[in-house]
Parts: sequence; structure tokens; C-alpha cells
Amino acid sequence: MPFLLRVIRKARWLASPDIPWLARGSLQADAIVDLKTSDNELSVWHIENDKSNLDQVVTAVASKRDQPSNLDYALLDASFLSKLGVTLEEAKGDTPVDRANSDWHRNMVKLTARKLVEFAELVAHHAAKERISEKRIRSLIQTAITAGAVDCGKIKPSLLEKIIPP
Amino acid sequence: MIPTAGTADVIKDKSIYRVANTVYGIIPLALSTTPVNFIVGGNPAIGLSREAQVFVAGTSQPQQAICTLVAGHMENSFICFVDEETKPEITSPSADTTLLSPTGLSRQREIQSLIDAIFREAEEQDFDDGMESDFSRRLLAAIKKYGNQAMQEISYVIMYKKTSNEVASEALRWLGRIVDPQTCSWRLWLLEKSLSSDSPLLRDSAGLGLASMDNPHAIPVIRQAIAQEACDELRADLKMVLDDLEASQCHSS
Repeated sequence: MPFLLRVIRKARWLASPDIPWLARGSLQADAIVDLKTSDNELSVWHIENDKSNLDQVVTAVASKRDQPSNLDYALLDASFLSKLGVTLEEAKGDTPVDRANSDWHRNMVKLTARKLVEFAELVAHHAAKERISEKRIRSLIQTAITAGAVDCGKIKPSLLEKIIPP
Repeated sequence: MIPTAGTADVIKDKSIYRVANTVYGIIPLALSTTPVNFIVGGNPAIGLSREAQVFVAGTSQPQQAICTLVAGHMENSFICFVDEETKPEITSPSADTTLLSPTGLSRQREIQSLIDAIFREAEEQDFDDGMESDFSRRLLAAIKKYGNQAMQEISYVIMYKKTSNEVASEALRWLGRIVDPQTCSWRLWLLEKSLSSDSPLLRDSAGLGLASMDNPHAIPVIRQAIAQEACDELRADLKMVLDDLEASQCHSS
């Protein structure tokens, strides 16, 4: 089964007992900040079941930023989404990596507030939450540039000058 | 981190106590059993800046923290401890001309107002990793312009929890990214100190800031933080930071 990747900040998803005031099984309200919708849609990425496209998706997301930075993400088994009754639509992504834009970007559509909270709970309890270090992100973007997999014209100058110093 | 160099002046009962080298044990926790006013500044030409209440006996963490800050990382630093009744006198320029330059005081208060405003207005903003914001741009511009004087105020805001954890967290991430040798020591100190924050969000961001800074001096402190970290996820992430820093060190040596 493939996975869905959503970029998050891991610390917002820490639970009890790491957040002492939080009841067991609850999630921090700040976690919802990581699920910011637009037009009742939530942007996610399709990750193949063998995770063969994970590095390319991570590179795509990271190369859209202003600065090199760590990248935190949640990886959820896509089967959970059907249980939730949420529709997933293919939608062109907006990153400097064309392949990722065309093949792996999705939107969760027609989301209600209740569905969003239910999705948040799925992420909290069932998703793997991972971090790619800033150093690794730099390396991934450099490799992608060298391989011609990323459109340098779409990378912001502030990021590009940190990846390839003038 | 035990400070190994630096000087401090302690004003107590209208007298100035000049103190050299290690501040620990000299900043007299035993001098009084009541809270005292605490004023810390950088270069004497700057004048006095922040005031805070510290508790002299028992839990002295804030006091020790700032003492470390001053003694460890600032040249010509000074610390003033004053009793409640002494305070009005030392805030007048006639009390000590060396410590109380009116121009310097005015400038520091201007910076204080600026930093306070930057943090206050950030409460309304959303932050995403690696994305600049009005907050990050203004914060970095203030550091570039005012150097350690700005860092002094930023440290106060973060350490004394005068802003939300979310905003403090964002600040720590950006403090690691800025390229500014002048403030390097102070930024490093603040990030290291924040590794022992009671907020997991701040501890995480401190680790990320240190990773961005890529300064091997942080290695012993990160090792210590890993040993003390109770949260499994944060400990694993700090280990990743440590591995990266150690790899950088090997690569550069």
C-alpha cells in the first residue's frame, strides 16, 4: 500500500508523557497548524509503497523553500484515508522538481473541519514522523541539481546561494 | 558551562565590587535572603539595560544563566545587583558615570523596544521550516545592525519567556542560520542554554539551530543534552545533530 506524506513540524506532534499536561491519546492543538488548508483542500504527496520516490519528493519540497532547512514529515499508510472517507485528487504540484509536480502531488479535497481533525488524529496515532537533517537536505538538492532533476530557475536565489555558493 | 573568563561589577549597598574571572561563587548568592534587582549590561559604554528579579537563595538558575552569559561571552561585561532601595540611585546618571552613560542607556532601550516589538508582532504570524517571514527578516536585520546588544535583548525575551514558545522556537532556528561572526558566541550560548528549556519545542529548535550553526564547540553540550533528554524523539533528533557536527569536525580536521 502506498503512503501519504505531509510536511509537519515534529515537535508539534509530541504527545503524553513528553507533553505532561496532555491527556493520554490527545494531540496538541498546535498540530492543526501543520494541516493548513486552502479552499478546503490539503496538499499531500504520494509515496510509493517501496518508498522509491521518497527522496525525490523530499527534494522537491525542500527546494521550494527560502533557505536550506531540516524537513519533518509524517508518513501515513494511504489505506487509512479510505477509512476516513476523504477524496484524494491528483493535482499539479508547485516545486522546482517537475516529475514530483506531475506524478506525486495530491490534494485531499472537500474537507470538513471534522474530517481534518480526524485526519490529524490518524497522523498522530498511525503515521511515522521522520526528520531529514539540514545537511542531508543540502546534499539531496545538490545531487538533484547535478543530475538535472531540478529546475534551478525555479529555486529561490536565497536558497541557491547556500547550496551552491557563488 | 562554567565561565572561565570575564569580569563583573557587583553593586551592593551602593558599593561596587569588582570581580574577576569566574563569576560562580562570587556573585553572592548568600549576601541576601531576599530577591534583589538584577541589571545586566554589556560594554560599560552601553549603560544599563535589562532589569529582572532574581532570587538569591535556593533556585538561582536565572541568575546563574545570565552570569554565565556575561562572563563567558562578553568583553568588558558587568553585572549589577542592587537592593530595592538602591535602585533609584543607580538609574540616575550621577550614580556611576562609567556604568550609566545616558546615551548608551537610551540606545539600549531603543533596541529593547525594537526587539520587544518584533517578538510581539510575531505572535500573529505562521511559520514554516525554511521559509522566511516578516519576523525572521526583522530579527536578522536587528542582529546585523545592533550585534550583541540585540542578542542581549533577544536572550532576555527567550530566557524569561516573554514570548510564546512558538515564536521563541522560530527565533532559535533562525539564530543558527545567520552568518554573523560578531554575535556567534552569544548565539551559540543561547542555543546551548535552550537545550535545557522545559519546553520540548524549544529544546528541539535549539538542536536545529545548533545543526544550522554547524559549530563543533556545541558538541560537548549536545552530548550532555542527549544524556539528559527524557523524550525519545528529541533524543534521537539530537543524536542526528551530534552525528552531523562530528562528521563536520572530522571533515574539517
